[in-house]
Amino acid sequence: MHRDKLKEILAAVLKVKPEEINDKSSPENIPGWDSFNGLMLVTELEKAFNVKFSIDEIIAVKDVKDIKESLRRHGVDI
Amino acid sequence: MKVAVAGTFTLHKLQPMLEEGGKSEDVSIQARVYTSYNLCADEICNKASDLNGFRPDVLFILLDIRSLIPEYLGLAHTSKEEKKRIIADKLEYIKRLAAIFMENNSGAMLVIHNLEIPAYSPLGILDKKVEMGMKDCIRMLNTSLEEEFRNQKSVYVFDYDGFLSKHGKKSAFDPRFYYLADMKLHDGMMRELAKEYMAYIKPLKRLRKCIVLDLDNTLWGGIVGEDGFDKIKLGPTPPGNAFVEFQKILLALFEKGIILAINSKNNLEDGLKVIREHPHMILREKHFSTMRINWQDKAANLKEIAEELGIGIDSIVFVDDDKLNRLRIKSVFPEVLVVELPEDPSFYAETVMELNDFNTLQLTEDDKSRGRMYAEERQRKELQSKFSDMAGFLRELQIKVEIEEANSFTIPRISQLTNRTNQFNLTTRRYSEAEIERFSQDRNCYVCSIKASDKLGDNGTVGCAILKIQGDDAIIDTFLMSCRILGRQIENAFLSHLLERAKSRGVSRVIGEYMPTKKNEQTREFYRDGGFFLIEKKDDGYARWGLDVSSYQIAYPDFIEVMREVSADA
Repeated sequence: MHRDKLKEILAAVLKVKPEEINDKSSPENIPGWDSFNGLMLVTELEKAFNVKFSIDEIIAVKDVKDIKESLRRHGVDI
Repeated sequence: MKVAVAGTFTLHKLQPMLEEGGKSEDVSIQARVYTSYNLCADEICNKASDLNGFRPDVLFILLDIRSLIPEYLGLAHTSKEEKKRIIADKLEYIKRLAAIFMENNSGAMLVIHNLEIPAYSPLGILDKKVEMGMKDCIRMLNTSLEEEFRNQKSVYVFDYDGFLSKHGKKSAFDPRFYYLADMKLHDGMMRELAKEYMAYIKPLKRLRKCIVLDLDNTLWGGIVGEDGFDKIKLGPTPPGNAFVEFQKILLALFEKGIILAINSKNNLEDGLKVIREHPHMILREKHFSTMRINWQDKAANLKEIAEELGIGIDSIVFVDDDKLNRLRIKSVFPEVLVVELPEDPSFYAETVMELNDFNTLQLTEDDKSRGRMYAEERQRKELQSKFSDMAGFLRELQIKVEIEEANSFTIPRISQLTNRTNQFNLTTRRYSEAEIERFSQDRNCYVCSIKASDKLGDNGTVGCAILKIQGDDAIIDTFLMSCRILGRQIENAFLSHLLERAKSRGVSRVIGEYMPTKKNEQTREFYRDGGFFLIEKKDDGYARWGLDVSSYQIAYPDFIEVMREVSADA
C-alpha cells in the first residue's frame, strides 16, 4: 500500500506514469525531476507519510531507492 | 493582462498560480516572474531588460528583509543615528526602484510589498523597552513606505507582513527549503500569495457592486415562516451571535459603498417584520436598495434586481445558504459570483471577509454614499408613479447639474467611471488616473465631469466626457453616464455642454464615435437623437457621427438648471 502511495506521489509531482517508475528512477532519467520538483516531492512525501526529513537526507537522495530507504529510517514500512 | 513579479528569492510556482488564478476569474493572465536580489533591480532599471520589454500592466515588487537588509539582526545593537540612516537608505532604494519603473512603464500599476517584521529579536523581551528596537525599526520602515506612496497614483503597498501573520510566519517559512533553494516563502503559500495579488488585478477587469442576500438561515438562523418571529436565531447568544457578526460585516461593506439587496422565498410580511422589528437585526430596510421577498424563482428575482438597480448581472455577488438555489443561479447566470457559504454559520463572516472582490483602486466620495443614493432612488420611483406624464415628473424633481473641468479632486472619479461604466458608454475606453491626468493637461483635450442633484438628494458625479481637438474637428473620445440617472435627459444637457465647449474652441465640426460592446446597445442611436448625421459605419457596428456646430443652435432641456465652472481659457 505504501509503495503505491509513493508511486502515485512520484508520478503526480514528476508528471510521469506510475508504471514508468522503478527503484533506479532518478533526476538522470526522469526529465521532470529537477531540483525544484525534488523539493515539491519532499513536501508531498512528508505530508503523505507524516515524516520530516533532515536537510542531509534531502541532499543525499539520488534515486527512488534512496527515498525508500529514507522512509524506512523514519519507520515507514515500504 | 500582463503581470510581472520581481522578487528577491525563488518564486517559480507563483507564475502558474497567477495564470491559474486568472482563469478562475475569467481574466487571461500572462505572468512572468523575475527573481534573485540583483536581477530584480536590474530588470527594473535596465531599459533593455526582459521585464521592460514585456511591458506589464502590473508589477509586484517583493523585497524580502534578508535580501534588503542583510544586517537586520544588527539593528538591535547599532546607534540610533545608524538605524535612522539604514531606514532612510532602504526607503530611498525602494523609492528609486518605484520611480524608475513608473518612468519606463507609464500607465502601469505598481504594487510593493512591505517588509516582514521578524518574529525574533536578539533583544528578546527588551525589544520593546529600548527606543527603536529591532522590530520597531522594520515597522518604521513599513510606515514610511506607506506614507511615501499613500498619495501616489497607481502605486500600492501590499501588506506582506499582514499576509504572513494571517497564515503564520512559522508555517510560511521552511528553513530547509531556504538553505537548499533560497525559498523564503514556503511553496504551499504561493497559491495564497497569488490569491492576494488577484485583489489588485480583479478591479481592472470588473467590479462587484452588489450583494444579493437570502434571509432564512443566511441573515438569521431558522425559518421565520415556520419557527416564528421570536424563535429565529439572531442575538447575543450562540448560535444567533454568528448571524449578528455576519450582518456586521455586511453593514461594513454597505458603508464602504457596496449595494445590498434581498432575494428570499418568504411571505413578504414575515420577512419585513424581522427586518423592521427584530431587536437584534443589524441590517434594516434603509440598507437595502431593493427587496424581493416573494415565491418567485430566484433567478427571475435576481434579473429584476439587476434591472431595477441598473447594474450588470456580472457585478452581483449572490449569498444563499441553500445549495440548490446556488446551483440554479450559477447555471442561469454564470457571470454572477456565487459564494459557497459553508454549512456552519460560524464561518459565514470569515467566508465573506475572504472574498477580495469588492476592491476598487480608489475610494471616491461617491463610493461611500452609494448605498444612500440607491435608497433615494427608490423614493424617486415612488414620486414618479404619482405623475401620469414624464415631463411633469422631471419638472417636479428640480434637477440641477454642475459641469466641471477635470481637476485633482475629480480625476480619480473620472478614471473610475471610465473603468466601471458599461451600459451608457459610447466608446468604453478605460483610462487610468495617470492617463486622465495627462489628457487634462493637454491643451488639445478637454476633460470634464457632471454632477447631478435634485430635490430628493445628491447623485454625485454621474458622467464624464473627453473631447479631443484635431484641427477643425472636436472628437468625442469618451462620453458616458452612470445608468442610475438615465431617463432624465441629463445626458442631453451634458452633450449640449460639450457642443458649446467645442464651438467656443473654434472648431466647425464635432465628431462622435460609437463602439459597440455587449452592453452599450442603448447608446447606438444617441448621436442621431442629438442631431448628428452619420459619417461612416463599419461592419462591426462601429460608427462615426458628425455635427456642424458653427451653424447649430445648441439647446438645453428647459427643466434642468445647468451650472458651469468659469472656463479656464475664456
